[in-house]
Amino acid sequence: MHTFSGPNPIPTEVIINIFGELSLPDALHLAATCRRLRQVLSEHTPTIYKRLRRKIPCERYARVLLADQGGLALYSSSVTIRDLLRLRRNSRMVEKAIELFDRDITPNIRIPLTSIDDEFYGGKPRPLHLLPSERHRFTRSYYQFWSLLLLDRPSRQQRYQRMLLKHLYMVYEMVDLNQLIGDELVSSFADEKRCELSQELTDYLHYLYYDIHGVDYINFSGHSISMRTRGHAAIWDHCQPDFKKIVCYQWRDPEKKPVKEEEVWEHTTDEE
Amino acid sequence: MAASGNLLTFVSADNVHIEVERDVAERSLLIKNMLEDLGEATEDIPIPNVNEPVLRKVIEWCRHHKNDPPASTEDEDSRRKTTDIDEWDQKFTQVDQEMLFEIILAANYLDIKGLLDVGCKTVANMIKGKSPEEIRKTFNIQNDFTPEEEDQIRRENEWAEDR
Repeated sequence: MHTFSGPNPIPTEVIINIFGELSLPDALHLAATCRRLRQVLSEHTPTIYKRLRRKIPCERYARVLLADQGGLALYSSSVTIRDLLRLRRNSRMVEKAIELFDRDITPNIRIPLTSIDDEFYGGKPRPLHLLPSERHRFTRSYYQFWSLLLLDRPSRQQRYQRMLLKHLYMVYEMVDLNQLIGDELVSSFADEKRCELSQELTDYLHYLYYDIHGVDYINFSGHSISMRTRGHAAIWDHCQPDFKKIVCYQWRDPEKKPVKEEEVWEHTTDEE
Repeated sequence: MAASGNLLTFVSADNVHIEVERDVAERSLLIKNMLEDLGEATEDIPIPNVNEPVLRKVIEWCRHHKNDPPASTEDEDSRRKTTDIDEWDQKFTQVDQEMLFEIILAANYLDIKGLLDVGCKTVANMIKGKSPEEIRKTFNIQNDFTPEEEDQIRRENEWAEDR
């Protein structure tokens, strides 16, 4: 009988294929069973990673963070098991953050009936947990914010300049996330750092909004006070129509050159 | 026993003759390329390494999938994201583990990408959510790590799971 190891082993190319069908945590578990499987993963990590990466939530942002942590460079394909372990740990921390968020925040938000029509959530009450598109927004913003915590001021400025206006709004809301982010420890230093980022993000949002739309920055998270979402507004599915109006400034003078949507709102979908 | 027209004859490793329609046989890229090189196949086609019961299963799969669009090229992103397997394939892969691996190896040898994927996805589903020890039990894998190696790997994985 054919087995993974032993006298009648399955060929390496087939094992690579099987690894490619697994999620990252399952792949690490399979590679922890015996020497042969460990060896296949460690000798063919880049090939296997090409398939595995599709199952890592917000992989693009996970990779940016990994590079910021001093791991594998962003466009390098020489992935090692060490990188896989780090990616897994980072994504596990996001999962835990979502669990806390779904315990403390999501079930408590109240949607005023006037501001939303019945088509959201199919006329049913708002679910008590983040929906897939909301999880995606949370995960992306969490990784982006975590990266900012690791960078020095000049690198942060560069990072802001590469962010979409829409993403900046969402990263800004992470400042108020009522839990430790990434490697933060409870300390006055962490509080100061959050204040510093809050100030930088506010300044940059004001600058960028005026630069793009020619009008004063419109705060969106402030809306969350009436919606009682504790500082989180841009993340919710039901807030997207209002959020988009503000980010794209739909009241824009039609005489002016229109803003390209992909430059402020998205070049990809939130589902990606 | 030579094949005629659109019928080919496969000869399994245990020397059993099985007739196959040409379009079904061509789900195997190995066979397809071979037929293209030969032009007209008039001889029996030996399939070494694959026994009759396995070869019959493989042909059954190819017959069901003979009208599938050809396998896409090496574009990794266009491949299906999930480990979803359609209903017919799920029934098809409800076989014992030995047969499952035999099918996978035959699909690999005969270069039948769709079948290889279905087989590997089935194995992946058997691994999903299991601990290393549970995976060892499921597939009868001998733990050949030294206690030190095992300890090191366990600690790394615990770190990665943030436990």
